[in-house]
Amino acid sequence: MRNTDAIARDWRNWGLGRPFHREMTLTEAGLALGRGTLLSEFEKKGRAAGGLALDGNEARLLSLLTAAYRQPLAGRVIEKIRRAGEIWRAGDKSLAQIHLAFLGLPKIGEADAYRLFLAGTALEKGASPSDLLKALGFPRAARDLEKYNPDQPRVPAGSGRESGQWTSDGAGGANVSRPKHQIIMSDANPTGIVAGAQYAQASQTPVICPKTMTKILKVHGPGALAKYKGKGEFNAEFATPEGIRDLVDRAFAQATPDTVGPGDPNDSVVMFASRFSIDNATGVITRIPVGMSGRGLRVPSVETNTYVVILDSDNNVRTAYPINPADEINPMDPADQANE
Amino acid sequence: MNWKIEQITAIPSVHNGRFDLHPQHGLACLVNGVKTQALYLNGHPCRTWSTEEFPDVWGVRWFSQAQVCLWLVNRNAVLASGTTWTPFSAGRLWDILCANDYIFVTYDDESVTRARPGEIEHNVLAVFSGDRIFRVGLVDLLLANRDNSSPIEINAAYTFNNTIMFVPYPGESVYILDADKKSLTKRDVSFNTVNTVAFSGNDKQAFAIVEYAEQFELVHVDLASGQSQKGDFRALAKELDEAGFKSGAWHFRSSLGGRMIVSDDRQAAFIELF
Repeated sequence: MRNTDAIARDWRNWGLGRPFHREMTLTEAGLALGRGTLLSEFEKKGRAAGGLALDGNEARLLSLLTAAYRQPLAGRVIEKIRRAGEIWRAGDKSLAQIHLAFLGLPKIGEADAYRLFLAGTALEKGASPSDLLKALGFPRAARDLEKYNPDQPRVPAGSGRESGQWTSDGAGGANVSRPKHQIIMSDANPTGIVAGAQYAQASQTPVICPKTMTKILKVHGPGALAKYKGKGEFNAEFATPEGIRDLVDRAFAQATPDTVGPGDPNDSVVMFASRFSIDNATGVITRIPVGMSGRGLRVPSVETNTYVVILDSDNNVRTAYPINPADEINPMDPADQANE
Repeated sequence: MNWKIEQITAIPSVHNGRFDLHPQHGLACLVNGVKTQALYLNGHPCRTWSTEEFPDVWGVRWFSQAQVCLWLVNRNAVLASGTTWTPFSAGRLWDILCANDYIFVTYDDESVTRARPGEIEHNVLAVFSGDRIFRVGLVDLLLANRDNSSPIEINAAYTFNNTIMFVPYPGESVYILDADKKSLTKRDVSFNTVNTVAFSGNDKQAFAIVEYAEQFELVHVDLASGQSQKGDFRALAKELDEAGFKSGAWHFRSSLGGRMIVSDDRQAAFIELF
């Protein structure tokens, strides 16, 4: 066991001198978080397209994320990260970062970065990921990790249809999450399940009552940006009952089964989704703008292909509006304010 | 249900909502200049600021005879007078309603659904004292009442003394929040609260204007029983036409003492309902 003075010295000499990644960032070396902690390296050989070297390292990644975010994350987060790594290696770095942003994870602070550094050091020195989780106070997550099966069904990498993210008819990738403070991560549909079909068994299709539809169209329809102090505004082509219904259905069709449906009665479900089209012949992906994002906390309104749908625990739609994925900043976070 | 249209006042052709009309204090409005914005009180310039310094002052409400509450779209509200400018952190707010001793701040769906517990927007409705100290939030009171509704926005609200009556979204109720007592009372009601655009009244009865399917409806609500009955909006519309309000450009919002404010892009007036 190293003595703690040596670890603290390493942190001062090595950690504090590194760039500070407050959110997961893809670099040439791999996926970085905190003060240069590499959560996963890129594969150096193997698959042609390349990606993050996650196979066999899932438990390590989950334990490090738990250390950084102070909460255990669901294993399915790995598939999102895997996909982001593939996209990054394929050259679309901004889209890869958007995939990471869709995880909805909060930014971390210096204390989190230090804890992550300590966790990385512990793993490097031989601690097991489940030991680390126990030490962090998550014995149940440690047991889950011990049972974690990296060979569980997964959409083959490079298939072009990972997680139902892409379709040729303009459907978008969708990501469902509880409110971000709960950090329950989600993934899209496992292999072999037709998008949307699984919910018919366990959950109902989202309901948009006429009053809610009227409200969404009123406060997020054309003119909302100017009229309502910068609210997100759907383009006219989507700002119809049929258009909103279609956006909701597309988001829901690719949502994660275990995060949609009845749950805590006080809880709500947030679905993020994006509209794309893909040219089957060339593979070129084109973003389909759905509207203008609202005037955000730090960022100006932008034309966006991304939107959120908020459901209650009975799958009633509460609201839907276009968002700028970059506008996910915690206004009460002192570090955020310092960066203004 | 009866009404009177009174105190018709010309307003500068500014974005709707950047003015306030008060039965005693008169007209407060924001007027845009070249790289400047000015606060006018009853036609007189009160103070001017650079839009570089404060680019997003969106709204104004009277707080007292000498003070108005301004809000900036990003994160702050300001209590301002001719000689003072006192910001207070109110988050990314949607609307402000002032009562005798309190400032009620509401947040919209985008702010609320982005907020985490502990952030001011998470309250949906936050009560500040006159010296700008946060007093209580709606979410805390719902929790204390074991009320499992979880609103993401306040549709419409009015104040009466130190109490705010409001319809949350989603919901089919009127809530009464007493800021002095930090108490919350719920009344189930039988009108379309979701599409309510303006709400006014006192502690016994309320009046609502509901916009649905491109039609306005006028509703009277007995707050004791929750029973509601429709009024004749067409008769009110006729009077608004006669008073020179451009049909189709009407904008309604709550005011004090059973009044609503109606405006188009040229003038504003009170509709006193009784």
